[in-house]
Amino acid sequence: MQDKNCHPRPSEGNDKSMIVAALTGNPNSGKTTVFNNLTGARQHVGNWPGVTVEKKEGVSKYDSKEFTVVDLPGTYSVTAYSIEEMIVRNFISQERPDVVVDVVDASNLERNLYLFSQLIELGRPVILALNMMDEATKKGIAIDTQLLSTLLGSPVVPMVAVKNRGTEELKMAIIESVERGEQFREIKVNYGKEIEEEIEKIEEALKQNIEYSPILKQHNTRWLAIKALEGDEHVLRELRKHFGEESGILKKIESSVRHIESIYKQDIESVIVDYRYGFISGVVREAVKRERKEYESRSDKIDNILTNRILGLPFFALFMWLMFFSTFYLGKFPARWIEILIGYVADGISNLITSPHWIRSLLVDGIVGGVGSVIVFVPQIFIMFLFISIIEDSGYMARAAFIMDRLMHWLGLHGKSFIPMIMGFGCNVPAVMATRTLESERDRKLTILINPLVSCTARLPVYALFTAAFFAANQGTVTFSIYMLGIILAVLMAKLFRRFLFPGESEPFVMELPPYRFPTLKSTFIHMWERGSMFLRKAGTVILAGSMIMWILAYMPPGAGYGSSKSLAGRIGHFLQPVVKPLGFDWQAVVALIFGFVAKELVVSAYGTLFGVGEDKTAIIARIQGNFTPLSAYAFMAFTLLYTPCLATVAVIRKETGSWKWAVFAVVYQLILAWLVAFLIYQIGLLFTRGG
Amino acid sequence: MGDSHLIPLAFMMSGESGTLREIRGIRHHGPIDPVVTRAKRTIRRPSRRHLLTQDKGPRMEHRLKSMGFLPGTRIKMIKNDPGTPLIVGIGDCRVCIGRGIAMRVMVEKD
Ligand SMILES: Nc1nc2c(ncn2[C@@H]2O[C@H](COP(=O)(O)OP(=O)(O)O)[C@@H](O)[C@H]2O)c(=O)[nH]1
Repeated sequence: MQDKNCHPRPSEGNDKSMIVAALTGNPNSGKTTVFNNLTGARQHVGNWPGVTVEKKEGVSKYDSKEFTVVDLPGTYSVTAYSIEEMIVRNFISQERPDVVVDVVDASNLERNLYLFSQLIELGRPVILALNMMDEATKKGIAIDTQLLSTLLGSPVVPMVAVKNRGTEELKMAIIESVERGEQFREIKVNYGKEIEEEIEKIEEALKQNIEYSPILKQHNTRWLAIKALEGDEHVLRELRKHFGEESGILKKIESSVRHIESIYKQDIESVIVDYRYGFISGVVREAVKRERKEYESRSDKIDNILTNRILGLPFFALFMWLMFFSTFYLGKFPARWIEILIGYVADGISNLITSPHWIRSLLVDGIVGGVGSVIVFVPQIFIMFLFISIIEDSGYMARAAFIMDRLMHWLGLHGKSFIPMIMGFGCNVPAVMATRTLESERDRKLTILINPLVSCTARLPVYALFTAAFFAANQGTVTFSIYMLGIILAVLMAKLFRRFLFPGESEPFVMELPPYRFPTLKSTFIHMWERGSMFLRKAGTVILAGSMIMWILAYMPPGAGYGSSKSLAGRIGHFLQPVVKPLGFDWQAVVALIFGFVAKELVVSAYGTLFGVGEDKTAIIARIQGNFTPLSAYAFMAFTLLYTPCLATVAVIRKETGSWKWAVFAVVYQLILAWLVAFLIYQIGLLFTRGG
Repeated sequence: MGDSHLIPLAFMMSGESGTLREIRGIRHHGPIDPVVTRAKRTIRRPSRRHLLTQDKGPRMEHRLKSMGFLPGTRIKMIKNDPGTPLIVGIGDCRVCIGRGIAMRVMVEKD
């Protein structure tokens, strides 16, 4: 194809520098794997504008030609019912990628083609990436890809993404389809004579008027007409906005709907959906041959044990235990190495830079002390994310939701709400985003509000420091009790909120149980790295900045004595201390907690900086032992667990719920809860210690 | 079409199989002509649909269909244990479905 390089590419919009391919597909079709194969390490992760759905982009290369790959969210269809689906269709209609790649699971072709049938209506060329061919073969499904390609009017590329097979062919199909332009025969779903007539009429009416509407003009008129007939809220809203509430075109749509529904004696949405399936089963009947064999699949065998009524729960508990054990115990070894390394760095800096004193103090106390005290936890945080990635990639996550369904029902939620809870052990930000899979708004809000009570990895440094100082003998048990406290309170708050804020039953639920797959090393590590590296970035930015501000507050005004009561930090702390006095906290705790608002690790950094003892853990521990009793230390850990979600979580709550109201509510209720719980722990504890 | 031979999905026992016949939504019930009322609601005040928490019918039905619950599909009950959701097999897919919604999926047992 080299000689075609210099040919101008056909069709509009090609003066942009690079070809853009958009990747779509059902969840679990292997889309992420295909994306990683195409782009390798050249990825960029961001968010879709306005919403917090992850947006991944990467660059791929075929035959010295580079093109951009945009990863769209995985969906089953493109209705207006969910944000993910809106993103997919808006991107395709408005950004007009050169080509859309639909990744489908070949072993479940019929269901996967539903999305395809809708994608072709959006008016961009679609390539079918027929993934999981190995699974299909194993199940005795034979697909005539040539015939399939003809029937669908689109190129079909068979693939086995986990083995990186078909990647080059896919790249070639992408490049060729753009350069050759018209290798797509226009195939459309035929909706039967009556509906097609109405579609045509609406299209006519639209075409006359649409010139003046930039938004409507971006869309294919046939697609707009079909969506209008289907009663798509978003399209109707745009039409109403453009033509006015009482316009002829809306009346026309209304009468078309009535006409069709009176013929079919069924609501129009179902009629249209059934036609799409009619089209699909026609295609599948011709191109797919399967030897029907009834067999118990490997997944079903595993499920017999893992989702067993009696064994399911103990297995899940065992797995969770393994996750925490590995995080806390195994993670300690690499943590110690890092600690030693940071010690060398601090000594090095101290020896190298002796004056002026303030620069040395900023570097050693401020930066190494603040950032270093948190960096130590990187291995443990990565281990935690590794386990969460394994749960997600193996297909076990959906089973955990299944197992916990009964318990979650007691809270007025259902099993799916449990998935964000598990993810919360890693970080509450992706956990809050994961609530998107919940269909009901009320269930979602409730799940979001209790999520920050699940202790994330950022709070780990605080527990580690305080348990080392006060409960050295049974660190594990004490940390575990704090985690349990968070879970118990999440349960109680869920019951409370369900009762008073979101009364009523939870929505019925449907969830796919993907087949068990042995997670590949590569995908699991990429997954873990994506999440874990956020923490590293945080250490380099927020924590670094926080530590420096903390250092200024401790150092200023000059001559006050570093970190003394007379320093700025000291004055702020003393001012607010009366509020937390009943909890047994001193002024330094107040300062640390203020910083913890931004990110909870900063509680530890703040201590590191405030005491001006660098990263030297034993020195920090000694100072903390002077400031707390075991009782107030426990109250402090509970307070850190519960008080206010960190800034990033507040922001994501605001975005996901669409209003500040719930974000502010989350902060306020958690502050109150934290104060009450710490108060009870400390005061009741005092009674006992005094009595004894 | 007599409905007597149809049973809700939730009543199938583990290991039994059958053919999915229809999904019963709220709007299929009652004597009101659903055609006109829905057309009006759809065009004039589509936002109502969002507000009416009762009317989960279309959304749920669409979701079920896009996950493979289509009239005419072969369906197998993989697991129906008391107290847990159901696991059903549609082709080679396994879908976990709440008991409430499974009462609305009507199946013709083999
Ligand atoms: N057997 C098989 N497994 C695959 C193939 N492609 C992806 N997978 C696995 O399917 C699972 C889901 O893949 P992923 O890319 O995360 O799917 P996504 O949800 O569509 O992004 C992972 O465990 C992959 O390793 C394939 O071609 N064959």
